[in-house]
Amino acid sequence: MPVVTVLYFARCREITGKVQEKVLLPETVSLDNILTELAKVHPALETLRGKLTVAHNQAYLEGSVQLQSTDEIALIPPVSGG
Amino acid sequence: MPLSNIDDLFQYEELSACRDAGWPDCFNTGLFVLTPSLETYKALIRRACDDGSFDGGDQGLLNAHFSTWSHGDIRKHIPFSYNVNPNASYTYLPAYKHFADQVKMVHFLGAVKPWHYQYANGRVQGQNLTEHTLKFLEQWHKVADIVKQTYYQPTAEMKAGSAKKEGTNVVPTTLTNPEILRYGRQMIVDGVGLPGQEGLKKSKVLIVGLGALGCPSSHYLAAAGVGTLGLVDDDVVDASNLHRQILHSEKEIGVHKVDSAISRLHAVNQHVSLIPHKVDLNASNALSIIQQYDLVLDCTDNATTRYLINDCCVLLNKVLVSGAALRFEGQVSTYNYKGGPCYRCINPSPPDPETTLNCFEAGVLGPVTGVVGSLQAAEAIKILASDESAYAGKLMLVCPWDGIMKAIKLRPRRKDCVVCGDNPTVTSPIDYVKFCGSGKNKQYSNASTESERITCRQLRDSSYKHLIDVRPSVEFGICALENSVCVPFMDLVSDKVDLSPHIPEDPAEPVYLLCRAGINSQVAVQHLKAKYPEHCFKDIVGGLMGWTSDIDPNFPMY
Ligand SMILES: [Zn+2]
Repeated sequence: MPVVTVLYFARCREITGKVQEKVLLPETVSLDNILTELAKVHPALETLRGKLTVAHNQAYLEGSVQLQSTDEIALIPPVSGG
Repeated sequence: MPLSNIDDLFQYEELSACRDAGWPDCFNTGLFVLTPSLETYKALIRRACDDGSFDGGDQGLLNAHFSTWSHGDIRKHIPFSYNVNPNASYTYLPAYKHFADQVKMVHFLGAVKPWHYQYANGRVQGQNLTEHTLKFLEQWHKVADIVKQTYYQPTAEMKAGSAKKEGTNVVPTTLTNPEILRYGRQMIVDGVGLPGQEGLKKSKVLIVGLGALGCPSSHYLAAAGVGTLGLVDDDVVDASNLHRQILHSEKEIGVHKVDSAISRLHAVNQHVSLIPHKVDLNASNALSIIQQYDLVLDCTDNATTRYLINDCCVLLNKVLVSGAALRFEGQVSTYNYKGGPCYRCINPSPPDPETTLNCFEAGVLGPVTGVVGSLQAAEAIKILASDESAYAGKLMLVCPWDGIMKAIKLRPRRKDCVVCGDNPTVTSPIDYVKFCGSGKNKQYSNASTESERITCRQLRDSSYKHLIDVRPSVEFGICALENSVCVPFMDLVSDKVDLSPHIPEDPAEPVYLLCRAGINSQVAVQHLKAKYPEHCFKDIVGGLMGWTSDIDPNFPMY
């Protein structure tokens, strides 16, 4: 299983208390199961399901992808302030 | 400055001039009559090279050349009223008073010129000026204003005239020479050029929100020469805005943000037409405002208005450059650009209002909003000047605090998007407060019943033993009540910390919960009650803001 870098933005930072971390993830992830996987470590991430953009290597994640250890996942909820 | 027709000067012969007030045997060269000739020109050049000028300027040279003027033909002595120096009026004030009506030409002699004086509302500010000098200076400024307006905003006739000018290799343009000079540094950038600057000049941009994002973006757009800026806000400047809302200054606290912005933007570029919209943008007025513009900058601070602006931009086919910032990070994207996604394609369902924080609650760093607002301005300039976008289909993430700047490729337009999709169901503005479950200003429902609450006064008069402040530790570090302990809300509700040291052995001893505005403390009470049902938890109504207003005005608010 690959260890990938996960970047947390906005609300995800508050929930995880982290800017980024290395997480052991399954070789194949999809938009649905990646949040399930990460919520095992940070349960409150579950509350953002359907309300955030997940990016894999700087592009939106759609369908499923094969992960490698050099990959980067980013969780990006919208920010409303200004 | 001529005050009346001076065509009669054509009757004079070379060399006719007026006496110099300082040395009347010399003529003053502010005004003289001379027949243009190559011969005189060559003779003057020769004299300048051989002998120079006794005063180092034109007057010394011309007086040396036409040296017979003072004792020659008296008909070549033009009356002084054709070359009156108002600065010298103190030397013979009664004459100035007596002949004031006959002055034909005013000569603003000396180093201090009329444009060096402050001029506002028809009045010149200056010390030790005679009544006449003031009058002439004000008249000069009135004329200068008219000239400026005519010069900077040429009429259609003038434009047609300049375009038809024969013998000059000038591309017909809507820009004046002063404009080309003014915007030259951005016009020579590839991608802008003359067409780009003309594009900016004819463009109309709407800026919704004159806060932390609207301030820098409108400043750059006004400075860049965007023809028309619409400015939407319904708030007044508050001291807590000043660390990030850079158009507003201390003297504008309490002033409407639209007024404050207009006065600053007008000072930056008087040629931009600034349209005030002192309203709260809502479903009933948004379409009629947005339809007057070519491009919209979303500089608002809440999700409700963001969905409203997005939907109206899709319905009216306007490009939307959206910016947002919170704490130390920001986001920028361009929506509804040439078939790209809209805000709803990316965020089909609104954020949970309970977890969406605004700048009041979560704070924001000024420079972060500066970066975001600047990116919005750069994107608007690019689109208007070159018809290309940098951020359409992309989400720019900026986090200056952690040194992160990333562009994420966004998904394409959703075919099932409710507003921009193939079968839209949103065909006019909807009820966004209902849709988002929260308005512009959050409405909080009280989670606590009266018996679970205590006022700031009751707290002061009680000898409380257990007071838990649930604000983040950074806020607790700014100010806190005596004998309170800090257990941050997020830690408390996620059970990340061991709460047992804060729970009294005797369940009858009340534990008070305190936060900034009296919201999180209520949620904390409910959470603790579920965990320790035997114990007594109470929240403090109004939080620390209530403490400042009801108990101690010296307790800091932030
Ligand atoms: Zn859409």
